[in-house]
Amino acid sequence: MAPDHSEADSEREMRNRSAVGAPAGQLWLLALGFCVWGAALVIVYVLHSAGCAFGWSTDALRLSLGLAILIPLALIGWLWRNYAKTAPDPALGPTGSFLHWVILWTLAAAFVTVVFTLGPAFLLTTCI
Amino acid sequence: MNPPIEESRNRSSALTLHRQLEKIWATGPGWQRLAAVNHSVLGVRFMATALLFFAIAGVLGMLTRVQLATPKATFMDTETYNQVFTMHGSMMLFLFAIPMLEGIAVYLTPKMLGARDFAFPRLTAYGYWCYLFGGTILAASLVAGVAPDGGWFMYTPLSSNVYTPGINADVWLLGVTFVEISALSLAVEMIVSVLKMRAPGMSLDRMPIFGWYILVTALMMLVAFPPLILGSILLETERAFGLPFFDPTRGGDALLWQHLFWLFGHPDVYIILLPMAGVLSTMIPVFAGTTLVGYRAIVVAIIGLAFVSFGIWVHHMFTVGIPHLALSFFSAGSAIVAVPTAVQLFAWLATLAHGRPRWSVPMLYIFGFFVTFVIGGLTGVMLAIVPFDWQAHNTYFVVAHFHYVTGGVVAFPLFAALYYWLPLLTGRTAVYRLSIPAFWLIFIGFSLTFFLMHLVGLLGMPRRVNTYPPIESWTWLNLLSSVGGFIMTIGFALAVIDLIAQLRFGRRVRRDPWKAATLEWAMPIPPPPYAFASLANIYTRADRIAVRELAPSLARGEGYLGFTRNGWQETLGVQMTSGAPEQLIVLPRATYLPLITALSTAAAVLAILFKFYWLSLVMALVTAGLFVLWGQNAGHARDYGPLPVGRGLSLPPHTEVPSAPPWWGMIFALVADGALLTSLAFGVLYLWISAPNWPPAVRSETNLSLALATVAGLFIAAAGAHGSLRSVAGNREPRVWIGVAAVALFAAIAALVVLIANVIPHPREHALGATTAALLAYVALHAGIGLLFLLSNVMRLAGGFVSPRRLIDLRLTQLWIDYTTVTGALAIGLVLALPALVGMLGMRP
Repeated sequence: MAPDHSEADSEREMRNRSAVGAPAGQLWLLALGFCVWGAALVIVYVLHSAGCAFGWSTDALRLSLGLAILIPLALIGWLWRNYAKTAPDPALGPTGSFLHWVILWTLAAAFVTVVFTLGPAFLLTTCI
Repeated sequence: MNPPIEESRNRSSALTLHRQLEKIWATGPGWQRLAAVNHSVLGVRFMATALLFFAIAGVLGMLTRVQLATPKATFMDTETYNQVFTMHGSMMLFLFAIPMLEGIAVYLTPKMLGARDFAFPRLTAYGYWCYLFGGTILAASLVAGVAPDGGWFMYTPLSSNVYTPGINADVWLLGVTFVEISALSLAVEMIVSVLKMRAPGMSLDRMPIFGWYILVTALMMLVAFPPLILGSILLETERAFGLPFFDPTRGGDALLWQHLFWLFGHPDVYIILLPMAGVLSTMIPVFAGTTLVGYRAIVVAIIGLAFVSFGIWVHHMFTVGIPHLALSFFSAGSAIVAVPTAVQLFAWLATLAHGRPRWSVPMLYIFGFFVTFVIGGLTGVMLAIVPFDWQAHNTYFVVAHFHYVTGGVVAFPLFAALYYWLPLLTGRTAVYRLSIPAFWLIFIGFSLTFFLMHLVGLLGMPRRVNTYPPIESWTWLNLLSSVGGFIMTIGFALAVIDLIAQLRFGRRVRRDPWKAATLEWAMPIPPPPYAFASLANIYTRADRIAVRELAPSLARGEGYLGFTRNGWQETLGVQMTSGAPEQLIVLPRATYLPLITALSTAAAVLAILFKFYWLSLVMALVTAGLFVLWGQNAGHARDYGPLPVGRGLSLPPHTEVPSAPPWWGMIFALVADGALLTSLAFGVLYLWISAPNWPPAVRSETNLSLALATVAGLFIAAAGAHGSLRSVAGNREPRVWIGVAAVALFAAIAALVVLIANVIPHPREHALGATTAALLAYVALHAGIGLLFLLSNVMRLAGGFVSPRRLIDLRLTQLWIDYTTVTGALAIGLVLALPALVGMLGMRP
């Protein structure tokens, strides 16, 4: 448990591990699922405002809102499925596994958030 | 008995190293203290200043409770009351809560991550001075009787110059913006430091959870503050020059302010919460005697929380007339945000359940936090439900709720943290004679004051009133609330006296008195300015360190950089994810430049306040010039190549690697900048679709060829920046390319000035013209800053600070001009699209 500075093996292990650190670009994936949710929220809010302001028919507005919700859902679902299918790169060691786990769960959480926060668009009256 | 020879030699080598490092890192005495850039010094200054503002804001809060203790009170007149309650809220939020969390982060983060300092020490110092000067402007206005009086939210149209003709609102807009500059600079500082300046081997999965909290909080600050900065600039521009962004009679919309304000305001609650949750996640395992349960789940939860907190800003605007379907998105979001919050709460409870909790004063405050946080969280879910919010909106129920979620969430963990880290700061531990009664007075007083506000709110008492009629059910609740307020204040005063008394009478302790397992305890206490005599090599999660074994080894210089060289302030930079050592970072030493630059910035702000606009412009240019000066002695005037850093490893200096901290600092600064432009674009489109009096009477026109010439100029400048970088990399002369870029930027600025001068409708006549001018001014400002980058490049080339290996200056310039080109093309594209968008308004039913 304690770092022992005399342990050459540990030193070597640390250097090996460092040599194949997960690329910094992978950090953006931590935010990817919720970025898609954020974009979906903005698009749905804008579409709803524009639809009500310009007097779109209820069907047209509902259809556009539905698409604006289902496309991000499909995107997050696809990302999750692709990511879940691939095991973390063993060369990246525990850091790779950690990032893989966190990315997977942020995608799942973002999926649920899209359903829960934007789902009412399928049910409620559009422009009152 | 004499110590064994080996031990004595070790002690002597540790002492020699300590003396050498102390000489390099220490802040000088006397006036030289003003030149301090060290994170320990600045962290303490942030916290002490924040506590001072907390005391002032607390007194103001007590004054409001005196006024409201009885009906029809005449203790304060309406005007004074408005200033007092506005300043209470503004000071608590902007001058206490946010800077206090910044102070904690500045003081603790490098130590917990095993680094010697932050990435940009001068920026930390500049941030502190901006905070101090901005706060002083606000506090001085109170003494002068011209304090802001429109509420801490400064809603328009009340804060427009029609209804607030004095300088009260200007003080708020300028003072708060000044403080926000501080917050943004610290956000960039914290992100880069957490990502790049951890101890070698501290991969992301080994980082203490506090590091994750600070990283996520700083990222939130980066995106949350720009909307309010933009709103403040637009409102100040309206007040000073008559551009009608918020004036509905000329195409503006008062609700635009609310959108911009709450785009900042709602995430701000979590910006305050998360560092405190980080403090709790650090302390609870120590007092439970076990490790934190659910580390990975907490990381997922705080990432989710950060995003969702932005998506629910409309939660504060349920009663302004937004269509019901749109309300449902924000209502659902406000409810679901409880889930990641609960994940953390249950992780803390599980940690306590898994361990053997021991009671101590910090744990008392943690108990207080649990109670207030759960009550505040539950009333938050109640307010998230639209029909309930319609009933409770603008009543004292809301005041009770946000005092529970901001007051309770900050005050209790803060005092837990102060007692917990007091031995680290001072080398002494608390005696606790006053600590326990102080806690109970705070807890009982807090509950009495704010819980009863729920009841009086449900009974219909509105907020933001300076007096109320003698309704029996309101009267006794208000009186008890005021009594509670005084009990709480006595408690806080006792706690502060107790903490100050520890400085003098506290028992001296050896390091790590709590048997903690995080790196900040693996150093002498109080910490020396260099923090660690050598840097640890981390093999395990960094909240499971055997501190008492590691600390002596580090003190003897057995880690990395256990020596001195050239009088440099050295620390290590690492790969972001793995924590592999990557570069030797040489930090700048103490300098007065941050203070001078902050004074110059303050002069620019004060000149606007007193309506000396040309002087303000001059001081803004002086400030820009000072920033150019900052860069002139940074880095090295020669190539070094890899240098030994200890333990058989050699690394290049940060000036010779592509992923140096300044590169990442610029990227994150541009993220904040992009958030500001996005907010402006949102404002333009919001006014287009929602504001009354659109379309304007005059048809919008923009000179197409001039606009396209501007974009072309920007692209040529970008090509020039790329050319200069390629030239230096290929060992060729870059000055022609720099000249091309400068001429192109200058031409673009000239074209933009002509475009702004000819905006139709005139920017004072209609918001369409005002927003068009704002978009063009954004591009012009960025092109102007691009010229400063080029000027700096020329000076640095002449000084020998740039070589084919040391390209960071030119890479930063290229990045800035690329950003200016892309955002310039987008902004001008929006300006050109506006006439067509306005034409579409005719299709509305």
